[in-house]
Amino acid sequence: MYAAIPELLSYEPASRCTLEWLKKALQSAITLEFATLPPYLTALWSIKDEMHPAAVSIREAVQEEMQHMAFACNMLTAIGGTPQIAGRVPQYPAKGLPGDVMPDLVVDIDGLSQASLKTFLAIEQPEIDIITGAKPASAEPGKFATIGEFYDAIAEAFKETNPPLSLKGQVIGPRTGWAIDSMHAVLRAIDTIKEQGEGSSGTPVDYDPADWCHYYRFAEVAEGRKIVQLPGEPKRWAYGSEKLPFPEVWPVAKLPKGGYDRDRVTGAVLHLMDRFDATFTRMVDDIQATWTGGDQAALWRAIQEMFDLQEIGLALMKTPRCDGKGNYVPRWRYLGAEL
Amino acid sequence: MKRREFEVVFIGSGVAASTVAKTILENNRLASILILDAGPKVAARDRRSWWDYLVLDRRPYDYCYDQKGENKSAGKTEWSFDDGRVSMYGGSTVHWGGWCRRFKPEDFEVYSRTGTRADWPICYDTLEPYYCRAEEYLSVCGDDSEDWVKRSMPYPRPPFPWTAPDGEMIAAFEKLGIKPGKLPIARYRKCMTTGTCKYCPFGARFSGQIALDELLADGRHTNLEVLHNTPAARLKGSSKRRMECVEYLDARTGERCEAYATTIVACAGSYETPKLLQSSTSRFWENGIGNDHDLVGRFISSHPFLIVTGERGDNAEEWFQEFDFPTLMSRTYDTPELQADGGKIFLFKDRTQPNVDIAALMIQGKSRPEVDKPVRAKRTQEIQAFLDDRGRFENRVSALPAPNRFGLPQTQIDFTRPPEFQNLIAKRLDLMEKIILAMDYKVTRKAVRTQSGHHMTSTCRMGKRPEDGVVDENLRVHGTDNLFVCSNAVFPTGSAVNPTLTLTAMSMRLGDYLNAEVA
Amino acid sequence: MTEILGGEYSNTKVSAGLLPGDIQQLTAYEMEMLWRLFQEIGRTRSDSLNIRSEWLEFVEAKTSVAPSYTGEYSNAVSCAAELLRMYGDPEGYRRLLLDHGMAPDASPLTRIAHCKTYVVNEFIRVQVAKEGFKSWKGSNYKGYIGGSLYNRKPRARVAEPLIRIAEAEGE
Repeated sequence: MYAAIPELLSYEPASRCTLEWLKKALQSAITLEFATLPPYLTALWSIKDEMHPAAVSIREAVQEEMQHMAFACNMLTAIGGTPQIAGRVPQYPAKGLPGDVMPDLVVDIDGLSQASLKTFLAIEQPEIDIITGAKPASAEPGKFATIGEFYDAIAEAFKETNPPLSLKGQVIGPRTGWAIDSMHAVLRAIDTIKEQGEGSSGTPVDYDPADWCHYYRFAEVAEGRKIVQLPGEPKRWAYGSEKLPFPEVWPVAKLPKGGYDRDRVTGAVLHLMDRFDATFTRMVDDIQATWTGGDQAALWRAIQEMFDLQEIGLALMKTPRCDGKGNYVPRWRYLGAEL
Repeated sequence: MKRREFEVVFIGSGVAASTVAKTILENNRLASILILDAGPKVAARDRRSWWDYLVLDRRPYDYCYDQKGENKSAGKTEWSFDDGRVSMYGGSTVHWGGWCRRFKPEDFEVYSRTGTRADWPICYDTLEPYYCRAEEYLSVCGDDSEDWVKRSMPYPRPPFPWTAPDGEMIAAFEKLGIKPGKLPIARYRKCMTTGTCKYCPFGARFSGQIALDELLADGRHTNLEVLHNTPAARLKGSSKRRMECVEYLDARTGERCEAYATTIVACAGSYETPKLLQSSTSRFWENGIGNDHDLVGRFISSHPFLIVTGERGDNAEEWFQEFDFPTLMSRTYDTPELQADGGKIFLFKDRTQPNVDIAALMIQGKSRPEVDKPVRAKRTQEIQAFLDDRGRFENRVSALPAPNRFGLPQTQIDFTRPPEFQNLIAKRLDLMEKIILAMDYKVTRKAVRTQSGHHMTSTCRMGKRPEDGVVDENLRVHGTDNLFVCSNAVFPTGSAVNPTLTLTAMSMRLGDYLNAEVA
Repeated sequence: MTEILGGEYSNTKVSAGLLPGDIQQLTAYEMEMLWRLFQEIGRTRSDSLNIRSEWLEFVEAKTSVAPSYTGEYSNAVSCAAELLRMYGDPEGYRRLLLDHGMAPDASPLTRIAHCKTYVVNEFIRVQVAKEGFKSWKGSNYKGYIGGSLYNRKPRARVAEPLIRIAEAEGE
């Protein structure tokens, strides 16, 4: 997912071990983690049965992404930076991810489908797919091929610079992980992000044997079968015989480029879209406030707003478009000063 | 006197008023609606209030409960006014638990089946589609595999799981042939199981307040208005059939006002609604509106609350309360057979037990080993039940001359149970005691709580004819054209389960009826 | 109790109601001392650091909205400082938390009793609800943000074996 972050890569590997680079790298991580949430959440909400194993699995991946963002925010805060979230929300459909990452990948707002899963798998791709053996196109010299490599560089920079770590402004509580107050805490957070994203040393699981890392969660849904460990071979995994039926989804059509024409939607749909974007904007602002002021109460507000987004988003996703192409999806627009 | 005009005026702002208003606004966003509540507005989701609730066990609306000395229990059976209802914007849904079970078909046919009390003028099948809508609206988390009563739609949300201590009681249920069930409970998706349900920090449980706040926040409802601290004094009519206005006090300004309306809906609960009708005397209605047959305020019915507690001499598992709602229940004794035998019961396990207040021990200065000891030393479990009550004509709610803090007349309850009722209680407690014994617990308490009005019904009951009830099957007060009652008060009989889901379904039905009438 | 806890400051007589403190603001030193006191509550049982933001929010809610606890918090810091001077660190905290000899429901009529009633006791409730309960076997507690029903892992200890049996029989 961090295949190329030109700004960060303008530093030679040797000169990455500076506080300045570390701050930029952590800000990029925050922006990227956040940018994955709208496409993941839209796909999750499109699943009709919210207790379907695929829904449960993707929901956990999304929650972990949120926690990874919190870790990155706390790491940046600990070294004296201020996470920026509000001004950095992409417009969807996005060509490439923020920071010019994967510039050719089109990230749509769409329901769960083989097409959207393909995008998610591209975003979460590990160093090597332990089942198919597939590898990402090898990175150009000096670039990061995977999320793991990117976080390895961050860990290196932490170790090299050994910056003082301040608790001030960190948000330490439920859903945000632990305090970043020692090198041990930093490395543990980075390890967790890596394990949950792409798995640990040749297994699709993270610390918890029942917890799949994100790439393989998406892979199982796409394949329609559960992954199993081959008997007697602790390092080998394959798709087993247990089926994971593709869930029934609301028949949404992906968000058109430029959004919907305001004059061509009904008043009720327009009302829902505007409410969604206003709520999304409040949520983004509350997440921003959470780290601007170390404000736990703002995080609780943001969590409520996330649930409100689901209610409003689902109402849209159950409404057919006038042009008969499928149902609506939310626009995920940050209105900023417009509100 | 200040005079204003509306299409619909509601008295009360709880689940009934908010649900009917919502149904009307869905049909016509510009409907002009006024909602009056006698009580104050207490901020929802206030962080300081939430912390004080957690740390000091103080709910921010505690002062909206009836206070000692404000009301009178005048019958032979003691009636408790403690914690029974909340007088505030949002009504008693501000403190409700969200337990949502449907009534069963036999609950609508009590007279036909037992020769006592009354039949409902509508049947279960009439209400079934509204139950489905109400469950969706309240976001009920229930178990689709249950078969206590026929349902045409699945529950909108999955159920909460049985807790570890439930397991012990489930095993006892199974020994006794009692079928365990998961309690259907109204919680929105955003429930984070904080255990502070009586003042949820996330607004994850339906309340009239949250519902009305949402309607008000929707800019399209330009003609919706909600006033708090506005006790209704009386209803005035231009003829016997035609109600014209609600006279109310704006307690914040001291002004007396009149709200004129095409339709008036009294949604003020089983205490205040009959008192308002009784107080609204005129040359057309000498005994109060709808009271020509002396039925207003009568037939008080509310659940006797039965408990059997047991104790065992260890708690190695260190069980304590984790959810703030029960998860285990059974309707095995909520059947036509027990109805015919005098009264059915609805069983549920007390949510708060086993429990040890760890913080209280620490506050006393206990060290870790000194806290561990009582935590592991013993545990209690309690089976609880609501008994289907029988309303009697003699049992009555009426107004006292003096006003309460909110400007409503104080309440008198004349309530007496016949002596033989104790025999029924004893029989039902015996059934419950068997459960505790089957768990291998020692029974430490077997009792019925002091009667209170938490689930009070029937004080303006429905009936096909004016001689049978105060309102007709469409909730219109007999003898009037435009006055409706929407409250638990209209239930001709209660049942063994909580009334709010049924009231929500009835409110949706009334909303549809009023929409059709306008059309 | 055999010995009166604290010295002259701690045992000054005051009325039982909240000590005045509105419109004042806690200093960084006072916040630091309060945080230390809060951590001492969890020290032998769990790590209070995991709930630092929630504790900060609690103190913010208690001091920014009427009735303000600012006067109580200032007083508690002064009491704790006196205990530490008299008994040393951490003995001063130990006496305040474990060997205070104060009845939980007595009216607080001295400064140390205020410190105990309005600050220590409330901090204990926050600490247990947000973190401390986990060191007994529970997964959830009144006041703990347990998480969504829709997660794979149950939000409380559940009657799992029985559910499995029921499901097996159903099949």
